[in-house]
Amino acid sequence: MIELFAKNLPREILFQLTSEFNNKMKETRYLLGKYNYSQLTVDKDLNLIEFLLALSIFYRRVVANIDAAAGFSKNVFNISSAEAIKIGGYNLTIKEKDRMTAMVYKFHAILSNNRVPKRILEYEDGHQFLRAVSEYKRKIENIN
Amino acid sequence: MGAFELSADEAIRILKDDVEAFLSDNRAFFANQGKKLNSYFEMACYNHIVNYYKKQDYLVQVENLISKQFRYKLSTSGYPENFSFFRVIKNTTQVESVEFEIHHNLCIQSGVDRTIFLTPDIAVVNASSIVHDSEHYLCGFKKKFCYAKNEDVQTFCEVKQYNPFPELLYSFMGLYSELYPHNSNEAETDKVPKHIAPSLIISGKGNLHTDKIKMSLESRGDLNILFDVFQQGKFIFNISVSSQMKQVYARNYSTRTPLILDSANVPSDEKDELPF
Repeated sequence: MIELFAKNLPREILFQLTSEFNNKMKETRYLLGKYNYSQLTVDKDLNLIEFLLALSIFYRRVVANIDAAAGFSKNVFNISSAEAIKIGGYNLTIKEKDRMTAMVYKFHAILSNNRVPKRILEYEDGHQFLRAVSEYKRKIENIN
Repeated sequence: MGAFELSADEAIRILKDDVEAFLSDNRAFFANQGKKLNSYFEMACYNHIVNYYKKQDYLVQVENLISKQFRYKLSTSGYPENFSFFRVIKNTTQVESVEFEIHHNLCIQSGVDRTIFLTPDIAVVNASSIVHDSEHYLCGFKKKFCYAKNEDVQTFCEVKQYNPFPELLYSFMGLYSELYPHNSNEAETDKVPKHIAPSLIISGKGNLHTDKIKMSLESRGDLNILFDVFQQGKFIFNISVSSQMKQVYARNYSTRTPLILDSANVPSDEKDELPF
């Protein structure tokens, strides 16, 4: 599932994301086997759990970092006459910063439109993640 | 068809479709940004430190723009004069002001052994205090060595994009004891400016064990170990909640004539807004 998110990223990041996803899935399967999360079962909901876990890892490793770069550049552009931030061989221009901001906004808009709570992205451990997924599933089943 | 008429399975399918379309629309963007992602968290922390001073009524200026570019120092190599940094200035009284510089990847002299140098990710040093030593390397070697003397260092931060684990926390203690061998929080007056105490900034959240280590290490000196800065950074570094963080008094700093604030230089409210 993580390949869906990581396929356009460089190998090094792909490796980080895949490794984190595999580790977290191991923990998730263990927790699902040991504890009862009212709305979730391994057989029925594995696909949803995998998707949301991959989404959360993508958010933490990619979207949040891009948001951070946009924040830094916004600060620099606001208080100076700089037209770009040179990071090694890459120029982060005002236009690029706006693109980053728009991308982050769009990502959050998708989550908001689909009623995905922020807790699914910002959990502290596997237990909290599964509780957030369980709550999300209950919410969409009740609404619909 | 409205969302309220959909089944749960259908709602989940729509979420997946939306995310897939988003990833597909931005695939070139992600491919382009991918290699730089690991630098961005350090950038965010640099930004938090700068905003911390801004919230304490310092005037923040960007220094050393080169060809209208802010040159971000990605690694420990390179001369500081080839990179941009932030200068923070504050009028402490009617007759004097203080001035510091916030650098990224600046080499710092050890406070224990003057021949040892280390490079924390972020350093706050006295203004115009960088030493350019052309005799540091062997004779005949044209390269110079640039660093800040230990006595000119106000504070420093080390940034790690990991989840906290014991060895990571203890490795910071080595850096701390080398670069900050003194405790400066002795009785001082309110007029002395404060800085964030030397800090280890970690992106991930702690667990029971690392939380215990954090508490223990923080009780041993003027230092902060900050977890979960990924999510909580803007709250942790906000001055209104800075009681979460230890601060240290500035040392060995010089005062200057007060800065006459030009209204054109003062960021507007809109500009002052936190970027996150």
